[in-house]
Amino acid sequence: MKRRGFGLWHPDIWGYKRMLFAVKWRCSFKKWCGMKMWGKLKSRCGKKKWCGLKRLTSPYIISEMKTGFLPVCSFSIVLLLLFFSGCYSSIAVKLNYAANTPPYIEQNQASTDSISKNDNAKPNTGSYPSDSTAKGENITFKPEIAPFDSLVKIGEVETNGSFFSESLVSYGGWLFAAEGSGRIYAFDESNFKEAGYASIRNSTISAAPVFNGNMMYFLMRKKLVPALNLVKYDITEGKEILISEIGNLGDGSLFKTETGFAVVSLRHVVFIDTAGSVIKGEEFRAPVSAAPLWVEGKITAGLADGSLCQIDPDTKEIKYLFSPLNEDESTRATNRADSEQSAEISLNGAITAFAAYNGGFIVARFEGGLSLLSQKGEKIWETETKRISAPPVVFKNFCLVGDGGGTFNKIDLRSGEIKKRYETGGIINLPATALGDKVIVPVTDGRLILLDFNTFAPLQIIETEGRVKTPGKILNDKVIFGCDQSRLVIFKFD
Amino acid sequence: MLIDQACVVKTKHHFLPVVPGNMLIDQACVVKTKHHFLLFLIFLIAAPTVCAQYYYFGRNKVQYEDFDWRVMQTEHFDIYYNADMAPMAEIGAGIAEEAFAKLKEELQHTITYRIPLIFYNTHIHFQQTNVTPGFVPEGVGGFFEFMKGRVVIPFLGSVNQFNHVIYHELTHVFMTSKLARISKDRKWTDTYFPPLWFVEGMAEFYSTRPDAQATMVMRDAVLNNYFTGLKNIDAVYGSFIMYKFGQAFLEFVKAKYGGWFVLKILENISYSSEFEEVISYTLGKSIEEIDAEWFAFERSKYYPLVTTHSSHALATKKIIGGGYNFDPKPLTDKATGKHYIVYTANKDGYSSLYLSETDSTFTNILSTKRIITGERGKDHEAVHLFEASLAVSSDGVAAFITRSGQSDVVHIYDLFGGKETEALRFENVLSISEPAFTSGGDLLFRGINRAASTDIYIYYSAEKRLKQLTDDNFDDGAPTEGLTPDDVIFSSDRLGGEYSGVYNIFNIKISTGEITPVTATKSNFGKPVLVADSKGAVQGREAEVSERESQGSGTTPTTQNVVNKKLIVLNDADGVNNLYEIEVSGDKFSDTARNISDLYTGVQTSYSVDSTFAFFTSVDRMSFDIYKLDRKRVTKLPTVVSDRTRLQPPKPFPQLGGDAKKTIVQYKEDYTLDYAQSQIATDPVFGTRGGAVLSLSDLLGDDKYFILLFNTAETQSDFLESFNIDISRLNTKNRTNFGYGVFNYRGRRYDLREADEYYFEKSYGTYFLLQYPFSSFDRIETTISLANVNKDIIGFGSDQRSLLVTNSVAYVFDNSLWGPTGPLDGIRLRAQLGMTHDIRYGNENYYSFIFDYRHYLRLLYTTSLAFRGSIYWNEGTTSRRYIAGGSWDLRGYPRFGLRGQKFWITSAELRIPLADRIAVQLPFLGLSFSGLRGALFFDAGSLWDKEYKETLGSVGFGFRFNLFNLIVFRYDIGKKIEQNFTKFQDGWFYQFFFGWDF
Repeated sequence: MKRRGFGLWHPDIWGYKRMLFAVKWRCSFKKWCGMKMWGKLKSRCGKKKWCGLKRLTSPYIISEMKTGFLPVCSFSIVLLLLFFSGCYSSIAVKLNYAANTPPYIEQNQASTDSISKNDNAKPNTGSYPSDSTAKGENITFKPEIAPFDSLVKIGEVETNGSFFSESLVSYGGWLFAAEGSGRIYAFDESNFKEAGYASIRNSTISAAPVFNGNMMYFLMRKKLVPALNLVKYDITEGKEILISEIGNLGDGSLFKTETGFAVVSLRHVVFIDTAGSVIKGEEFRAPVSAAPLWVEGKITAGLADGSLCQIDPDTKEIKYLFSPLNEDESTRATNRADSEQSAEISLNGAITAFAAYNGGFIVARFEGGLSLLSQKGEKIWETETKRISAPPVVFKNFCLVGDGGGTFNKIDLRSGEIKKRYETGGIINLPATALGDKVIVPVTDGRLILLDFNTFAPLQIIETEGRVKTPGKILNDKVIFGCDQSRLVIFKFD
Repeated sequence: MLIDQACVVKTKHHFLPVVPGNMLIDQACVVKTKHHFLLFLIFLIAAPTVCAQYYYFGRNKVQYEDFDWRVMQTEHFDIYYNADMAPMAEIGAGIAEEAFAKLKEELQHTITYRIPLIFYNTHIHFQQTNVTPGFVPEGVGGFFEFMKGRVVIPFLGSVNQFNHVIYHELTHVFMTSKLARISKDRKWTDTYFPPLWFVEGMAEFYSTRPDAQATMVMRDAVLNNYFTGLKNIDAVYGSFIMYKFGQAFLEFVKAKYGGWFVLKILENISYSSEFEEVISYTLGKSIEEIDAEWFAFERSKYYPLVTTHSSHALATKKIIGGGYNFDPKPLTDKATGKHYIVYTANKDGYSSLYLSETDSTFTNILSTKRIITGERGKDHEAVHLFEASLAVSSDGVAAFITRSGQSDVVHIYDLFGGKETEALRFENVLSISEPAFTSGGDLLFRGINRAASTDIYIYYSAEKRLKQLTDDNFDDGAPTEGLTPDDVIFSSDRLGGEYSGVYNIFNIKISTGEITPVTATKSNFGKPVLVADSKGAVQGREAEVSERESQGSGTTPTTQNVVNKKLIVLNDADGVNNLYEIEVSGDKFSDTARNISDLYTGVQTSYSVDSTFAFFTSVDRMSFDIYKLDRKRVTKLPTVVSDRTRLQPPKPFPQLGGDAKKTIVQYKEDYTLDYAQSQIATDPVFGTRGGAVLSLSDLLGDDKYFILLFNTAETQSDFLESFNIDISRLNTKNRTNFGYGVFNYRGRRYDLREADEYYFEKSYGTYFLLQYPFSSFDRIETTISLANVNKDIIGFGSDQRSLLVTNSVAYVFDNSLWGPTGPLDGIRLRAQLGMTHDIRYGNENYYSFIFDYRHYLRLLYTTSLAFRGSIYWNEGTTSRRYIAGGSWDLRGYPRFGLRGQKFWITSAELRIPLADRIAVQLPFLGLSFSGLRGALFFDAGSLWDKEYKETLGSVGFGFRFNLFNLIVFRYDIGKKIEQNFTKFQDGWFYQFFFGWDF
């Protein structure tokens, strides 16, 4: 019998089979069988002659290895390295400062209204930080716009994962889309061409990135790991510069401050310098129950004890506004001493959404209802609604807000009276987009409902096939929604 | 309830002949091929054609009912129901839509696909569902299964309860969808679930307020110091207590922290893989601190009860304990003067009727006799332990309700004569409970009919006539004779206004049907019993007879015949059901109910009273025992006062509004994928093998298709020739189950039954199987197959071709009760006759006979003596051999090392418990195992072809270890009996393997 090698493992299956068959034919066929043949062949060949290693060095094997094994292994190793490495794609873009977006943009801005000249209302004090140049450019509304009748879908772009409410950020002529799967894509705002994505493998992102010059900063967590990390990424060169762990904070929101960053998580606020080192961390007296916003240059958050707090990024102090319900006298006294403007109010339950208006706050509660409170906490009006989790939008002296029962309300901010209602039949947990005299209501079940702002008559209902995951992002004459199946759906006003 | 590890009962009775997924491979049919791994997977899933039988023993899930399914399509649901229960299905649809709207808001999540809801009109029909392959136990009230997102809910008699279960199951649907969304948003492949206690607790939290049952569980746990807290909540895993602990925890979170935190715990599931960390993160405290707060919260609620309530030890006398005991009825034999307690109980795995002789005070038990054993035969297939199922007259006649076949049956049993005199089955009444005898010997009971309407009935025993007393959708129950023979007092939820949904007591005139309320409160009244108190402790019924007799004769009733009547009721005003007494004056019931029992955990819903005592089941330390209580006790609990001045008509049940009800159509099978699984393997000798198995079924699970596909090619040229395929269909819609399929198998075989015979076999053909269950315990099955076989024996270069027709018929009986490692009690029997003929080439012709009898004699609770006597006989021109040897039959001999065309074996084995639980605590990890058992065994048998060779045997001792109910490891030590049973072997044998006891 002509001896052929077996080896214990051979990558070239077909070649191996040919070899095996060759062995079979050379041995007596009736002695060949699966398991028994192995032993019998060994004894037939003679133990000292059969040796896996020896067989591996036979000329046939070596030639097979040269042509098949080594390249396959090398390629596999390269693939594995790429697979386990952090970023295997990157964003390397050229920022366009002429696109009317400054190199520094405040994120998570308060929903405020640019009051029309005919309006006698007081100038709003809940505006952007003074150094912002984002006039008229807002995530959720654009009061002055050419009249249009409908939205026309002009395209879609696909990403990898799913969006969240603050996913879409515009910067330097690029639209950045952060995803729950841990990627941040960049699209050219002019033609929505993808420029790549930044990602940390096996991570998740749940907060909008912030930008400073060429640097993009974002928060990420590894899968099912509580530790929150800040990533610094150069978007012009397409590489991550720094990953620093902030603490076991869970998900959080990122804010750019003068001296670095502030991260607001469920229970903590942490101040970080630009090198990623923690400067100071402080715990809230109650968990954050409503997404924090910039109000009057301070980060403002709604808490689960029914109060609001403001974080001064300069002093890094937390100031609590209002005393929560059920607070005992001694605690209330302490809080009052801490806060110059605190007051007893009858808030009931966690704050689930809020917006700044005219120096005060529109506040929604877990048990339902919407109130307008002065900055001292005095109730100006209160109206009954179901539970609201979407941030109210202040638009032309009205508050536009949808609730968990699917009712979209238009509330007069002066009196608190619900002037108009529209029943969507779904859940509304994203802010509406107000454009001129139209309002786009995003319903969780995937519908976008275009209403006339004045009459609340439905003008158009668009099915996006899935869920709507982000509020409308207005870019010039387009509005973009992040939707299910990892799609950004682009509409034009028509 | 989720069809997960908590809900699907992993009993050992799940050898369902109609469901391949639970198949047991018969040792005699194992054919060892080189595809053994793939085939092992395949055998677990598909109906094979290699063996003539596909299930050896096992009980049956019998489809007694021929359902006529309809589908109601509402805005969010597809509701499947039997045509009979259309009105209740509409109510259920209304409840479901209401629940959808409410849960959408509460959980801040919506579901965009249509949810399939399957309603059954009674629990009896629910137990026949094919949505789950396993048996549905008595205590399961509904489930949600993950594969196709089906929600299956029986109507159990009460719209309130229906409402609760619908909300409960839909909470699971919403929670699962929300969690899946959280994972999907992060592009995770798995959906991460909280632990079961939280899942079920949240479902209870969103579906009901804490009721009497929840309060009972918590009081018992806190006051008896077995409340676990979060750290040790696994100790109650899978039990009913787990549900209530979970609910109590969320109620605590809501009360202490706020409702926002309850939902936030769920939404923070992505924070960490450890759920305790998620809770800690959300509530902002360590688990130890949260536990301490929770403990304090519950204690502050229940500890003050010691000043207002009584413990069982102080206020009652325990009469009967051990196991689960219900429905006590005191009885005095007037002829002998003996005293008895008749009750239902499960003490040893069988729910049964017991008769215990007591002393004259009904306190000390003198002897106990089991009258009827349930769950052993078709007459008493199931006993509804947690429902009132027993009535006893003073003449010693018992009315005992069990499930028998397609409905409940009332068994009239002469307790003193020791025999059943009548079995009553009512055509239109499927579910029967809460029986009570009238003074005239007629029977009152609560029944649920085909239309899912719960009403009270009276059966006139002399006329053998059934009369329905109420006919509506209210939950009417607990009927008992009233002040006159024309009156029936019962409980119902038919009041409106502020009493809407609350159970109160009513009186109905049989002759006119007029219903008047007896009570009207916001706390639930139930289980009324009219009792007469007079000197001489005359039973109420006798006193009535005496009074009527005196009235009939025209004589003035004497003082000793004047009785003082009281209406004894249950009421949950203090949180649990306790006993109250309502005075009766003439024909008027007082508005005031005086408390007579003040137990922490209250009284279970079935009790009986005489002039002095009350006899009832109560829970103490999670033990259901029978107690006796003096009715004359003075308690501190306040009275309950009825106000019948503010009665309002009942509000209508939830209905679908407007055009919410879209269409109602006939059900049509729509097949969707159940699962698909593939396997690929490669090794240096045989190369690569790959295959897949798919299963499709209709929504109701009645009709299943299995597709098995794999390839065994060794070279490229072999590829097309080496495809194996098996497509089969199994239909379990009706009582007779059938299946058929086609197959094509190709590949190398090494047949253990033939020494050193390797061959390449190509076989293709078809098969058909039929099965008819007589009851849950026995069935007849038959198969026929036609296979074209071409066998190429390697090395001999010759082909053997045959066209085989195989027929077999078998009778199977199985009423075994299982322990941790195998059967403990009962009988298993299989008798099979089969024939195989080569109708074309005459190469194989033989007949087979199998008789396998196994008897298990329970000696103690977990100790039993098991016997087996089996004979396997193949006779013919080319008979196939049986194989034996190893841990499954002739222990001590090489596994599958014995062969013969004839085979007999007998075994005797004493199965004993060694350790109930073994816990190992390592510095970093704790492990706990249950069910280490031992066995003393004796085996004897032989295998031969033509001539009997010798008798083989072995004796020894073995260890059995059950690993998570998935597999049992076996280790045997012993001595073979050799040389034709004349000599023990020198030395010992040691044998390790896996598998259940025979």
